[in-house]
Amino acid sequence: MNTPIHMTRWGIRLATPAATQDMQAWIDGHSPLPSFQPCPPAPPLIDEMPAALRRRTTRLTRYVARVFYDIVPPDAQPIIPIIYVSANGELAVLEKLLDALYTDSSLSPMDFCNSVHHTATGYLSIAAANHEISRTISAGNRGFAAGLLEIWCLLQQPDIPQAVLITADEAQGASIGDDAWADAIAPYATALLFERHSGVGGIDAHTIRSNFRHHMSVFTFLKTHTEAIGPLR
Amino acid sequence: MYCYIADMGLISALGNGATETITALHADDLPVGQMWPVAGGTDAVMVQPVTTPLLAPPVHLASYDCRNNRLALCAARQIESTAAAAVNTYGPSRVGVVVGSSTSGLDATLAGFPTYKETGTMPANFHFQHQHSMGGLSDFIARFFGITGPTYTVSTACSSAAKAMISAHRLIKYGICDAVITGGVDTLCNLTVNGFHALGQLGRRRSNPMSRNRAGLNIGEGGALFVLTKQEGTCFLAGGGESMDGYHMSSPHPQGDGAELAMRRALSDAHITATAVSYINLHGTGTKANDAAESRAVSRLFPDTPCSSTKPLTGHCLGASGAVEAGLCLFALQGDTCRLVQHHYDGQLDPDLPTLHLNTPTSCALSAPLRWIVSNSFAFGGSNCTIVLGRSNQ
Repeated sequence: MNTPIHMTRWGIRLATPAATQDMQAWIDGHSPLPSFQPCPPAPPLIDEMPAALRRRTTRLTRYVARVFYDIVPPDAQPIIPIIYVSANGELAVLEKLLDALYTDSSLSPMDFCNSVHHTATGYLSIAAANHEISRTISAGNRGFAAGLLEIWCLLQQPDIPQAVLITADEAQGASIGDDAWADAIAPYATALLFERHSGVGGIDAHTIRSNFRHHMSVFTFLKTHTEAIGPLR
Repeated sequence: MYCYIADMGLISALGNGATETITALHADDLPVGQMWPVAGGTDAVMVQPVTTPLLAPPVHLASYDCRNNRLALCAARQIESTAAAAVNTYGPSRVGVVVGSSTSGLDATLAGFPTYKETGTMPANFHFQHQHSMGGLSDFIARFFGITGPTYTVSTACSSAAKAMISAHRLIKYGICDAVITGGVDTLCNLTVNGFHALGQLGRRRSNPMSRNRAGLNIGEGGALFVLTKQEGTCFLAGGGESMDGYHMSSPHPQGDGAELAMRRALSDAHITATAVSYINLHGTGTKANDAAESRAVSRLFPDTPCSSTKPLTGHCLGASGAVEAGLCLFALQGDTCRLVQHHYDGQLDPDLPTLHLNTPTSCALSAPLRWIVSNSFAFGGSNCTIVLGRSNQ
């Protein structure tokens, strides 16, 4: 079985609206790759999420929710499977917990619940009453490629017509992490909507495996896809 | 399509490997457990640690050294020859690694954090990507076995390993891989113990699933790794089902609707009916909420099926629980033991919960080979996963 898949929509949010626009312009071929500078993040609004739930969300969850709401139509939100990729998950929340342990302070129950790797998908499923498959994975700089693999496998099932692949990560800053590049654009989130592809072309198993071998990042994928097919957003 | 389990490596509070584990599993005395101080030492809860001495990784993998990877190494050593044979047969790029974890090397992060607070940097022997990151676990296992195929970690709290096994199944089913090392590993650490304590979900005594007196879970640790292949064998992973409750971040849907949905999807994926199932490994944590939700779901779908929770024996291995418990199920399925696992509790059923067919010392004895086993794993955020294990008709 080897049914190709294709991306129908995508969305991104970087740390700030300006950084987001710069990245979109590069992906769409309107400008060269910008030189991103670290800057204080400006978490997006997510008014689509009920207020009682929204006020409990983490910063990373807000970025994830924003791209989810940007590209998944409202009628699809309760029924769409989600593959969520994050190399390091809820780092900001984790550091709060580590600080609390270090100072012998009480741990916040809400912070602990919000520290699990799949926190964002938990909130999305509650907000949309979504009971479908949700998978959260981590694979360093091969995370997006692994996510693409997961979504391709998911869409081989005839009862799943479309699924969304979300990638997101926090800035690590001068903290316990060591990925300097992430500081410049993170927190960031991307969301890509995929369907099975009935015509010529599409992403097949061979391409999926190749992407994994070459550690393709989501931004490279979007850039390459746009160059081949044209802007799609 | 079935994916066959060619080998298994297992480590938990019950012991290291099949012999120690099976002996402890059916012994009269339960594992002792230890008390772990929480809340700055003002309280203590029972945990189930691995007591087996853990060896450091090989020198070329020293940057991956943390308790979680040492546990993984224990399990990996048990399947080493089978994994090597798979790599030899199929080629390293046709073998994958998909494992589950909720902690990865968090113990190393915790150990190094005071240094970070005092100096501004983590200790020199701390490697963020290889130790702390979830992906570090799968990466370590892949490098240990020389595997270059798809490699990643699934992290969805307590459903991590079960979901990883379903992912592995799909990779083989759809021709991406010919074999996958799958399972899960998790480590007992201060953050998870104190975090669950802050939620009021831990017990000061051994967990007591389905009892009217149940007072919380015991955190455990351990891991199980399986060599999953397309080559026919005796026991197999028949399929799995997943769902999200869409209800609450830390409490399950009270009627177990999401749990039931996961179980139904698992049966459908495995192409079997509920009446065909011989035994259910309950998630059975011993918390008020989980046991209530799960018992309602199980009683609706499997009103007459024997079941038990193994968590009083192993503790709750969190992200590894789905794999560790699948391993315990396999012992019965493979015929390594002629008994199912007894449901250990104080014998006082909760009258507010539906009646389940909990395994007693008498009913545990197997009169015929098992054919199908269902194993549940339910997690924070309402992440539900059920896998179906089967045995060939031979």
